Amino acid sequence: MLILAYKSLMNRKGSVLLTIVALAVSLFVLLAVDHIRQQTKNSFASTISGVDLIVGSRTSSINLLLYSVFRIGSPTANLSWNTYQNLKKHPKIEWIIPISLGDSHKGYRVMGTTDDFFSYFKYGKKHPLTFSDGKAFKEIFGTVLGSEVAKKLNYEVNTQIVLAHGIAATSFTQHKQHPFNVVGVLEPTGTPVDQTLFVSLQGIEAIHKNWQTGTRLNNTIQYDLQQDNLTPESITAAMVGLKSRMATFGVQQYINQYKQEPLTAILPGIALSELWQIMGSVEQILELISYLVLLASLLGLSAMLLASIRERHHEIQLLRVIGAPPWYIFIIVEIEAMLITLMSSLISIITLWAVLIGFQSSLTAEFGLQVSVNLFSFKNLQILLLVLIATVIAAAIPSAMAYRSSTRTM
Amino acid sequence: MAITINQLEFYYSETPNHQVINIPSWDLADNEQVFIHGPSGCGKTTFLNLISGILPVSNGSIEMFGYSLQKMKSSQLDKLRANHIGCVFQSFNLIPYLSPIENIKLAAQFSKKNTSNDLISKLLYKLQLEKSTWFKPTHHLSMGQKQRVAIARALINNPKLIIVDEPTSSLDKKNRDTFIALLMEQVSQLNCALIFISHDLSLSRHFSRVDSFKDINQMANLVRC
Repeated sequence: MLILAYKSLMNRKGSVLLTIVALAVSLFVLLAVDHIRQQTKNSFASTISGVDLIVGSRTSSINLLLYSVFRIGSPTANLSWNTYQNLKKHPKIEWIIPISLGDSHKGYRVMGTTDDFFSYFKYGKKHPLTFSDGKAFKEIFGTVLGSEVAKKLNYEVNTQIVLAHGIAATSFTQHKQHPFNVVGVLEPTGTPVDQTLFVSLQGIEAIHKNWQTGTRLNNTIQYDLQQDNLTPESITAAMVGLKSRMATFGVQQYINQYKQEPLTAILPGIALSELWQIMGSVEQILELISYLVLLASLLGLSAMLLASIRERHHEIQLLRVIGAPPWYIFIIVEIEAMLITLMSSLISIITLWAVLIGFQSSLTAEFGLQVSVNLFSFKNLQILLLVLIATVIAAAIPSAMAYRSSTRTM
Repeated sequence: MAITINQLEFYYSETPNHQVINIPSWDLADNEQVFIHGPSGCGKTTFLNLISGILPVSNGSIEMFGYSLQKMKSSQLDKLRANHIGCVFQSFNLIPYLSPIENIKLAAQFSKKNTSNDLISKLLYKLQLEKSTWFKPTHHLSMGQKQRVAIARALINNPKLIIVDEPTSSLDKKNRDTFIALLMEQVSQLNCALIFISHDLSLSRHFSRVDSFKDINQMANLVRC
């Protein structure tokens, strides 16, 4: 039965091939939308844990979350070093990690922070950061690399690198006067940490001495690289850990009503939920469009099979004459539809897999998304099963037509 | 008897007032070979569809090898066709994208009889079909080769009745004679009944019994022919 269905399809290569391509494209869209959606959620949700509050200048909670954690977008303003120091002294705050963004290296973001970052920052299910090589920086011009940066740029401990001013992939303003020495490489985390270079706040301050509004001044001013002189005036944001979770809302309210300067404190989990709420309707629209495209393709499959039944009237009658029961004819048409769908599924999965491999690094570099190329998930199996059931339903009309045709005269 | 027909009437359900077949009585003995002639369009193919159980009779009865076709379920009729009837037609004889071997195996599949590749090979050798054509799709074969494959398919399940409908109209004289000779040789070896329908009366010399369809079907004179 399978061979008969297969050879029957091969006999109508042209129309069958077009149907397979149409169905493969719609399945590709459906699987791609769902896979990237799932991966994005997983990737975002596992990026940060153990951080109770994120503090930045007055902005929306989503913007603060995106630029401080995911390195997407830019801050509207900085928060002053004095404020940071005052928050550090707050009795309910256990630790506070400063973040200073704005520079880059070969397209990867540079984050100025303290070595506390490597002790307190957690990702996934409260996994701490670990070093695959070297250690955290103690010196001003030491840098720790995320695993992806080290791997892609082929850097290792003791490699000398130069940071670029700004965050463009190609920058013409390099901080050549102060190269950094790689002192550590982190283990992969599957988060934006992997695409980040970490340097000390003093290092960031040192390379920007003698700069004004993004430009290096020609009249070089001599300065002393003593740490006392390298205290930053401001930072981009700060991550906060509290002594007790019970104090979260109290401290958040205190920061949001901070008198000296306008600040925003967000709970990462709640900000992420807000982000998903905004994304939710877009997701639903994308999903709906994907299913509509699939429906159109399945109707195309049904129409193609229906047209073929009219051409195959004599073939169907011949099968009846040699003893084929009508249900056999019905099943043959259903098998043909299933073979087309299986072939389309295979093509769409292979294509999606190839596309993900091809664009994986771009998605990571551009959007900070860690998208797995592993397509074997329960959800994808569910989708494919649903598509197969939809195929059986869509093919029921031509199958019934073939059945009816088989019970008529020759 | 192979076939016994009594007071058979048939009309299509869409046109119940338009009787197509009216056969008061007709029969065919076991192992008998009959040549039925008649012009195109007078109901010969409808008659064959009724005999093979593809069309249900409107009134009257058809008995085949002692079984009443009207009393048989659809699935029993399918089995009857698969196990006891072999058919050869003028065209649409074979599934064009399958090879001769696959066409023959397909017929064997429905009969559920144990058919080995050896048996198919022997049959094809006997019917003088070149081995080089056995695995080619049948749309690549000549008309003569196709008809020989059709005979092989009709014979593969050792049927008790072979129905042949206008098989030679697409063949030239040489191929037509070869076809008839091969068919009659196989039917004789198998010792089965044969209904051979054609408008070509010159073929009737191969048969001991020759019937005119006009004499069999009362409606043939009145309505169509």
